[in-house]
Amino acid sequence: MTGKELKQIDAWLDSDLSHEDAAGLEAWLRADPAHLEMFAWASIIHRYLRDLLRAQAMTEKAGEGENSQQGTDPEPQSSSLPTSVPVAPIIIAPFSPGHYSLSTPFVGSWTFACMVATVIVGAMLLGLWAVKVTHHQHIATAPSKSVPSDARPEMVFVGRITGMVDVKWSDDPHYLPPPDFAHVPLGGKYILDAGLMEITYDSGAKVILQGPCTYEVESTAGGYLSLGKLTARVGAVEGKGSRSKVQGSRSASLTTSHQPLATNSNPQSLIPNPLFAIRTPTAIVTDLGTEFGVEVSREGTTTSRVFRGSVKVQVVGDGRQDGVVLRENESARVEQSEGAGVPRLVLPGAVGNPPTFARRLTEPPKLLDLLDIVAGGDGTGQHRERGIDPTTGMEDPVFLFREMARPGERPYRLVGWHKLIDGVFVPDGRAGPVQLDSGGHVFALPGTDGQFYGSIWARAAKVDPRVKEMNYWVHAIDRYEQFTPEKRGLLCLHANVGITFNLEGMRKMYPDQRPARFRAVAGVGEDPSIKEDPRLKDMEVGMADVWVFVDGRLKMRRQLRRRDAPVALDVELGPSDRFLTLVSTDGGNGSAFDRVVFGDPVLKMTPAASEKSVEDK
Amino acid sequence: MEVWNTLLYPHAAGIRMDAAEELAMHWTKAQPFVAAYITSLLRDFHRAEDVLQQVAVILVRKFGEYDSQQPFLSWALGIARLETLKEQRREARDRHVFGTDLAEQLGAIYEQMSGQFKAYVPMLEGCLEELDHRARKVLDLRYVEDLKPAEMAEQLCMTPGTVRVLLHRTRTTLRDCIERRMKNLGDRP
Repeated sequence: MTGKELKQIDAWLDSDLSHEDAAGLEAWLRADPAHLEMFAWASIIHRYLRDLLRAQAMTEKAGEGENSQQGTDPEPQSSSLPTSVPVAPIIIAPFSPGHYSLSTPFVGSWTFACMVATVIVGAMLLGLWAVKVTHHQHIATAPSKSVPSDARPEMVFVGRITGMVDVKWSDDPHYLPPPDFAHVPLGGKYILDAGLMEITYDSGAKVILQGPCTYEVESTAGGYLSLGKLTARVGAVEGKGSRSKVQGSRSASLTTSHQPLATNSNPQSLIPNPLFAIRTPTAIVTDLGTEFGVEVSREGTTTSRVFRGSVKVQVVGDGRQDGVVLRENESARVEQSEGAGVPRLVLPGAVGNPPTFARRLTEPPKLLDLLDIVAGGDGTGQHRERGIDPTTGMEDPVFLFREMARPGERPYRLVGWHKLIDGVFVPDGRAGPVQLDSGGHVFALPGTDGQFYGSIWARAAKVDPRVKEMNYWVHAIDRYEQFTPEKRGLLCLHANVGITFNLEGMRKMYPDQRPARFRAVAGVGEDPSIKEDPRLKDMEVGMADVWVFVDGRLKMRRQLRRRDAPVALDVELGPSDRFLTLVSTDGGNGSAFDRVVFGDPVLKMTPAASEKSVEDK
Repeated sequence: MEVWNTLLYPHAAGIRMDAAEELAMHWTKAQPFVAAYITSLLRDFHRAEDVLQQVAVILVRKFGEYDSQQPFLSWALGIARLETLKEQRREARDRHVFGTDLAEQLGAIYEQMSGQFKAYVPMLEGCLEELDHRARKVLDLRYVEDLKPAEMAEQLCMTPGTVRVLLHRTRTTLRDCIERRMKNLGDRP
């Protein structure tokens, strides 16, 4: 038995064998009773698949019907039994598909026993919880003997923990780390052995602690850095002047031994301080509208470096209020004096190599991967093999074929589930100008046949061979490597589909960056069966147009044919552009085999204007 | 419908209750093989259903003539072969039809193999669950929607050749799975 004969048996059962091949199969069957056995075996499976799959399909339909009629049609099933059986000849199915019903065997099963046990244990836990809560409430409401309830101090929150990367808290047994993304109270102390943590004050100021580091929040506009590094960024957001209060005990750290300097307002004050300041054992670094870094060594030496704007550095204990003002890219150091003397200021220029600081929790992306975005990611990951339904804008976890569209039936669909994708559509100029984005931009695209084939799909460059065999056109593309020189993958956009990316959303998600260029390699893919099919060999199938729009303005249009070499696409994006739209349309000869792909589609990111000056320097 | 009514109300069809039970028992066992046999010769599910129903009607009518010393399946397959032959005569002449002798040989093979198929076939359900979404989709189009490969190709946006390969591979996967499961079953102590 060879695979060829088995294929022929399958083809025979599918009525898909030519007269000549069928005659050959018959001769082969006559040659050996073993061949007949193989034929009978395949036929039995064939027939049983039919009965089983249809039975399953009918069961599913009946289930849907029952669900939709629940509570409205209490008619007993038995009354409709004879007429509801769909096919008469099969009286009793010998191998009926398995169904589970709430019958006696289920009640006596382990599953049922476990469910009952779970309910009982759950009820017991609920009871215990109720007892415990009642007890705690009693304690909580009991008046304190030592502190009158009306005199109980309040805990004041001045910000939140807004990010952590690989944080390792101090293993000091007396130190209790805060929960992730917790509110930050006045007096809160953060001791990191490693990693980065970002605190965002209610005023908008951000501080990134870089472990190993010990930092204490001692006012609404600053804190005390006793060891390690931090970066402070002030002035990006206007002070909101808001704070959260809950009843509780005031942190003892407000009576800390670190006395705030006269230059600062009272750290216990709830009025936002006018200037953000970082205190250290030897210096006070006061913000004058800037981004700066401060490092405190184990010896107590403070080093400050300004990235943007300026700061004022004052030496603790020298009695001077003016200090030294550092400007962009300048550094200063305050060293402990030998003995009990006043710390010494090392002026700008004499610092040597200033320390490096982490200015962001994560590096801003230099590229945003559009395949990752289409597959549900934020553009920085490697998500693949997912897509979007161009008719609804919903996620497609599996590639799905869909019916053709009629002119005017497919409006622009917003993609609400993804911040970086504005919407999708099925372009057909026969119904008038086509809407390209949610901003209302339209364009007079040519008329198409309104058909498209399947999901907008983010295909991986390399696909598991088993998937390749079992999948649709997106995985059957021959010589796909030519479209993905960077091996990122393919954005499969069969003719008559459009997708619009939200550039503004990207700027919001990555505030320091902005998309500056769109780059991709476009082409029409074909699979081996097209090339080998003699009927298609000389036909002009696989001809499509690709269009690139920015805010409704046509930036690029290319006509592609299936045998053409890939075309490089490169479109510049402005700092205030909102939408990038990619469209594929059939070439006017129908959409058959117009398998348009955008290989390695990315957005090149560049620092936003405010960042750029610093980066350049 | 006649078969159904006969089995629900055998007395109305003039069949004794014990005879009706006997017929139901025999038919339950034989029906999948008779159905497979007819389908393998006609290759069209709808026409095969019609012939199967006709065979069932004849079996009910002629059950009094059945020699209980002979295998019921053999008797049913004989009737099925004749009914299928009648149906094939209506087919277009450009379609290939297996010779009557081959059809007869095939019937004998079904009869011989019916014992082992009883054990094999239930494995199929479990094997179906192992298939991925796309393979299952192909099978649904073929067996539930009753589409031919060329029609499936349109729906799946594939060439007919690719669909044929996909369908063949899926069936091969299922056949291999059943054999593997049977082997595992046989290996158990």
